[in-house]
Amino acid sequence: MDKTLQSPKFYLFLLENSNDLISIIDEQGNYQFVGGSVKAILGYSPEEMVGNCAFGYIHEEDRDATAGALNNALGEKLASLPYFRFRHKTGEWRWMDCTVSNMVDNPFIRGYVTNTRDITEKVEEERRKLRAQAHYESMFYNHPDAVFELHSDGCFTKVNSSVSQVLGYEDSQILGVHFSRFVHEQYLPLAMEAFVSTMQGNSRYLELQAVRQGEEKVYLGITIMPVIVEGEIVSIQGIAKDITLQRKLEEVEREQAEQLRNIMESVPESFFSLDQSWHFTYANAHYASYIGKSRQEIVGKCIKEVFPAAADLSTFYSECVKVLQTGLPSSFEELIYYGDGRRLSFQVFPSRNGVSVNLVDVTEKAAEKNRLEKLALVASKTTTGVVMLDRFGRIEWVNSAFEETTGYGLQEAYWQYPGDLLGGEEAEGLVQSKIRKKMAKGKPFKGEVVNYSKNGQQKRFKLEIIPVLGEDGQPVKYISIRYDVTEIRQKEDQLLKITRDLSEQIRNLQQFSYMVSHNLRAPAANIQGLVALIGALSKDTPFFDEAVSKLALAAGNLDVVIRDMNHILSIRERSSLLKTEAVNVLEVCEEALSCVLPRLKGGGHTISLNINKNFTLSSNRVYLLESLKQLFSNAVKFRQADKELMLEVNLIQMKGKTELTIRDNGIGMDISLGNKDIFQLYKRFHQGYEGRGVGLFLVRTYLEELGATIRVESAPAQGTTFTLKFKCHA
Amino acid sequence: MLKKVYIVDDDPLSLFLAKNILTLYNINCKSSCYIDANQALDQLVEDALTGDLPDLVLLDLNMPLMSGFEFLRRLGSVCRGLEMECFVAILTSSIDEEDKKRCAESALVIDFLEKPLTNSMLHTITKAITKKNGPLPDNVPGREQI
Repeated sequence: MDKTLQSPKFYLFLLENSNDLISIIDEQGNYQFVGGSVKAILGYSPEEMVGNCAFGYIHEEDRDATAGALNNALGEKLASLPYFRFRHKTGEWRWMDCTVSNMVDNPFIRGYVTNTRDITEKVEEERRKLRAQAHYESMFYNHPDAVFELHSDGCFTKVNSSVSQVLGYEDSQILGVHFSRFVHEQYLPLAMEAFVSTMQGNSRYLELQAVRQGEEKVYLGITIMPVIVEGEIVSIQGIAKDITLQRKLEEVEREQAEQLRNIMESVPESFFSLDQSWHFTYANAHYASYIGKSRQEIVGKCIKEVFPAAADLSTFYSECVKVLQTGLPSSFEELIYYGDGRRLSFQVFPSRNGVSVNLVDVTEKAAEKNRLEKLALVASKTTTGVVMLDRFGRIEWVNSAFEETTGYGLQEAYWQYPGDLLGGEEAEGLVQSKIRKKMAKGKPFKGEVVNYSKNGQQKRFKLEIIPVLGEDGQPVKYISIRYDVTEIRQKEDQLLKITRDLSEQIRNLQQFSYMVSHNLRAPAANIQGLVALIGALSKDTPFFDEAVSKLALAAGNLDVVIRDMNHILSIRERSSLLKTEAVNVLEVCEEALSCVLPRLKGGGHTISLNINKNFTLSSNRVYLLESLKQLFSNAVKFRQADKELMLEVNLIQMKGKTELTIRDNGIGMDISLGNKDIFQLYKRFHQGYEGRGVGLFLVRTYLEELGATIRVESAPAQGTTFTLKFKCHA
Repeated sequence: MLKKVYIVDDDPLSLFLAKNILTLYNINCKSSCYIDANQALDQLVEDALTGDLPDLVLLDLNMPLMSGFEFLRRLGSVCRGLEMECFVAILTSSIDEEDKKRCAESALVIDFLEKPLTNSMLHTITKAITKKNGPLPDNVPGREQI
């Protein structure tokens, strides 16, 4: 061994085959010696390099640092230079690790020995590792989601900044803590199972709820994977994403879809969807029951197969095609012939993969509409007044006959109560309240009402109010029907009045004939009796002459009655020829008084005639004069003996009537005894006064012929008031 | 025989005639004439209290102030109150059947006579009264009713 050590060739050979490059440089860095291994390491021959400056081979970027380090190393015995790049003969840069030994003082060497090794592979490996680490760390720390690492015992070992944001805890509160601390208890089994599974080498995705600081819950979507080092699972890494918002959106979407589904299923209309090949993709329950098939029999099937009648729906097909082409919805009606023919109303909307259809069977509705149109025609053309009332009894609609009879059109009548609109002073309150009661109970009313038209005309209507009841039995509307019976009633009233007048006349005639027969018979009977008496008396008896004179009296009485009859009958007889004229009432009163007053024979009297001097009455002057003469004559005859006669005549004009009152301060009478008998023939109310009981009968007869009436008010010693009522004034 | 008769009539001629016929029929008959029905009624009430009612009242129907019917009503209530009976014969010129019927309703009325009064009428009435009351005692000026 010692022998070989001494051979210079041996050293050169050693240098040539070494992995390291041995060279000697001077203080300036010029090569003094280059080992033979340079050929293998850098591609150069030692001869090429000796004499050259070593820095010429070093990468520009590394040159200064290397030169500085070398400079520092000059004072040392041994120094390591930082890694630098050296140019290979091929031009390629090689990383070098170099140590410098100061052997200047060594007489054999007199320079710096450099020991250089090619570490390119090693440097590159290290750089690759560094880059990988940076990548990893970037992935870990800069990831926008929460990235974490769990130790095999389940505790957090590493977290990025998002973790604390997601969990709401500080990093220090997370690190070293078991993950279960942050998982909602409901999701713990899932989390534990996933952890165990991952620890067995399986990557997983799971969704769970974490509990943030402050008990707030947050949904996380977590991907976890095992970290395997040298075939051993050392930890778990995971990425968690906050999916709370996404979950909520999904929830809302699900609810909306559910709601939509519920609506579609509960509306009493048919909905279905078709794809582009006319196959059902959806059908709601109503549609299924409408066509009488289960949903399973519909969905997925072609419409022609499910609903053969649809083959007739040419409009339906063409419209669906149009909707598909244009993307615009369409609505239309079509009549199909199955059963008794149905009218269908369609609404077709474009949907994702075809069309959605809303189908309503409007057959009944169309029939109802048709029926209503006919009814409306009848209601508008009839001569009977028809009114629709709302549930409160307010007018909603009136027909033209109502307008014609009342003068009120719909515009004026709308929203009014008929009672307010048509009621007047004589509209019966009782009937109104009866109507209201019936309406409130939802019962029909039938009866007759007095209404007033717009121009104030009184009308009589036969009124019928029919309630229209809703499902709950309460009235939702009323129909009121009015027949105008004004004319009929007027005629009936006239007839009734005529009948009353006739029966009154008959009664009067009966009374008249009774009194006449009685008063004719009385003197006749007296004559008969007296004749018999005279026959039985001898001429010498003192009664004989008296009886004869009584006989003359009786005959005279008979004559008076016959004259009275003649007078009364003449009044009636003349009535057909009675002249109606404008009679000045004041003048007639004055004339009557001038005939009567002389009978007072100068006795004191106060007369007041409260009558407008120009007032005239359409009447007959003679009859009125006779009546007044009789009444004034009675006032004179039945005056109180110890009192001055006071007579007051008042004329009052009223609507369509004229009233004449004649008041005296005479002896009066108890009219309760005789009541209306006072105006009857041969009725007398006073004993001790002349008279046959004819005067007031004549007055009534005269006044009846004039179409006037008379009534009396009286009390003993209180005077008497006669009231004459004339129908109209001129 | 009729001893005491009241005649109620508003017609003086009728009163004169009836009174004289009665006197002719029965010279002892004491007849009183009333032209005012009220006076007659007052007298009858007084008679009832003293037990001196007439044998017969001849009553006219058609009178002013108080008709014969009203007279009958009032007299009826007086008689019922005193539990006495008084015979009334209607003497009227009326030949009305209705009047006849109305009068028959009164228990007091024993006959309905049409004027003029005659002997035979008086005879029939006397017989009717006798039948109801038993023979009238000739010498007693009145009757007591129990």
